[in-house]
Amino acid sequence: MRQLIEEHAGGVRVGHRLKAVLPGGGAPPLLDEHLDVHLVPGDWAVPGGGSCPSAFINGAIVVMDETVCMVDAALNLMEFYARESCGQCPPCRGGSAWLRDILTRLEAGRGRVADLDLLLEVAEQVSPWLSNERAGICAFSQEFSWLLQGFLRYFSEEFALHAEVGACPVDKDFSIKTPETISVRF
Amino acid sequence: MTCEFFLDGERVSADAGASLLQVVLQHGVPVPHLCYHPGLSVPASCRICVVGIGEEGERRLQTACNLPVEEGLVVDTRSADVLAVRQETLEFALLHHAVDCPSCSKAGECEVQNGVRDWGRERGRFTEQREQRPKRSLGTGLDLYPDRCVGCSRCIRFSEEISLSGELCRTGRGDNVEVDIAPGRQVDNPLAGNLADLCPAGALIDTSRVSGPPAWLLQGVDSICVRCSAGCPIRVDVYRGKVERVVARGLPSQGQYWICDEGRYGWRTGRVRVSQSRLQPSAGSWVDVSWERALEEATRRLKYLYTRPGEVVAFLNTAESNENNYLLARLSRELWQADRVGLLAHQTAESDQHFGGGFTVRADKAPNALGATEMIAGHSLDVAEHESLWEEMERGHIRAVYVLDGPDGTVLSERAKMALSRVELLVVQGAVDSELAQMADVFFAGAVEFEKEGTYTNVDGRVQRLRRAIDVPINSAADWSLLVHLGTELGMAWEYAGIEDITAEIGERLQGRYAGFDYWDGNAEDRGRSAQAYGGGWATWLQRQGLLSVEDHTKLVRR
Repeated sequence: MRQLIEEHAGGVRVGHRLKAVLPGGGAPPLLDEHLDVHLVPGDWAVPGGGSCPSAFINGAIVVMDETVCMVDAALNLMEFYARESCGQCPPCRGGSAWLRDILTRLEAGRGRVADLDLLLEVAEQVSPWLSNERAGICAFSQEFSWLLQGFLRYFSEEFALHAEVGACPVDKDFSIKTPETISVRF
Repeated sequence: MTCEFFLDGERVSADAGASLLQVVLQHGVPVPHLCYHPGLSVPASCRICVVGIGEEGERRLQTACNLPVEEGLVVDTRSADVLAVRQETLEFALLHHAVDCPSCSKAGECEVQNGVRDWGRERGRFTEQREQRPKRSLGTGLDLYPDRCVGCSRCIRFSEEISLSGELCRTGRGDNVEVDIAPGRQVDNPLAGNLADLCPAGALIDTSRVSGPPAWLLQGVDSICVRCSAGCPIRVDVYRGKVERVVARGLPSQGQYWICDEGRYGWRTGRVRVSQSRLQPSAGSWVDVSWERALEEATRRLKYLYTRPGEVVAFLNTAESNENNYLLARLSRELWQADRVGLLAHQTAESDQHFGGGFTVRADKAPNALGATEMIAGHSLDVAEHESLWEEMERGHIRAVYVLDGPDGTVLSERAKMALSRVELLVVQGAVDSELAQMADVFFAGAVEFEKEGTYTNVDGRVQRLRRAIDVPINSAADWSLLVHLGTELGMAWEYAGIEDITAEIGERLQGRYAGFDYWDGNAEDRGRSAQAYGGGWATWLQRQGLLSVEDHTKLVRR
């Protein structure tokens, strides 16, 4: 994985450091320390039961540096999941929308410290961390619940800071994310 | 094929392949469910009916509705993790529910409300903005409150599978999912009334119920519908001696869960109740009397008249109960020594209307055509052609006529009116103002369907009991007792202590399907839960504490 990011994709921008990697679309994020992993299903917790704490789902790898706010990134993903949930079963329909709403508040500076626990509880009751059990019908709900639990695992301080400060504390770099330079945004 | 499985540690037998949820519910074990309905397909989308399946070690949580029962299944419905998952899923289902119970006319009989009371969290954790969506009309008498919808899709499946009209659909994705109606269409199918019953939340509301008394004040009486020969099981909901509504009762053993709108609303319109017995000494002049006085008059004149066999003719009615028809047939045979009777049939529709799930609205609008014919045959009587009876009346061979007029009255032809005006005595036993009632020399005010007792034989040959929901008005009488009084006065040695004795006698005499019908118990499957109490929500509690009057609650209800 490290080889793929640093050699084949050119690595993180000069002067910046790697903050998190989304290994496959909506799979739980990986930190720098997790990157020495082979890109074969067997080495991943899902589906192979391996040691890498994420899911080998699809190949759309997203690399984020320290200019990316993790709450914003989680919100971006949850907006996608809330929009794309088919709405058939309550855990997915309600869960995705609820998580999105809480994240929206957090990012806008209207969060509370208690929201962190709530986020984790709601995500866990949709599906426990990397577990086979799920409250919804299909794997869609598992995806976003693990994703959010991953974010909360590694970046809970950043989430808490949002609630404490009452604003987004990250100095975001919008220069590479404007629609002019990136034509496809999900 | 039956199989045995373990339900909460107890050995239970059931049909293999049946829905586990259905079996569990039949055993009286409560399991909450929203999308499941025994009369519809099973999408297993609400995820609330989870139970624990399997022994320790291999245990997993699974929805019960789409799990077929099999030999040796180990099911637990009450362990802590099961309860926790139910609670959580219910919370998710309720996120976008408006929770406006105080102003919702479904309150008190709402599956969502009861489910949350029994299985939900004590306090919700959802503090985000709930979207408010205005109510809108889906058709005559049916309103949609989108912000109460929990997305169970029962109504959509009903319109696709049962009413076969398919006008309802689901729009949007995620939490924007909404029930909607196809553009330019209205919910106007003949079964539309079931939708409001089906809805587990208050999203589909029968507008005629909005201003009525709340559900927990209604007393339900299990009865049967008399608007066609299908005899669907209904529950008549009564408040302070007045019928508030008729809903489907559901008889799982017969696979019956629905009623048509004719049965649901038909009784409300189109007839004038006559609750006063009366005499007509000369044409067009009425004297209101008590039913005892009317009885005296009828007895006196009938005694004077029945001299030769065949001079008194009874008209039985396919819309009347077995007991009434039986008594009148017996009078005809044994007292008036007739060998034929007339039989009033009811205007029939062109043909049966078939719907999905085997539901049929019958063309024969009389509830007891089969029963009435069998009562006549049981007394070795013939059903005479109406034409020949009219002719005999005109010739003066028939001097007196006794008619059972059904709860909806009878329409007479000109010929019939002419003929009936020639007889010396016309006694009509009815309940509504019909042409026949207008002509009667003696009119007995009897009972309409909600005031009646008796058994009816439906088109499939099932004998079912009609239960009395409200009292007969003063100066009317339960019609079976009118006939018993009449018979006794005319000299029959009848000793019926109650209607159950008549039913028992029918059973002894006719045997077959009538044998051994236990009147008070009904058929085993048709056991009544009369005066069933509803589980109420907090509004019930407020009312019990005297903090909320019925009138106030009615005012609160969102219109």
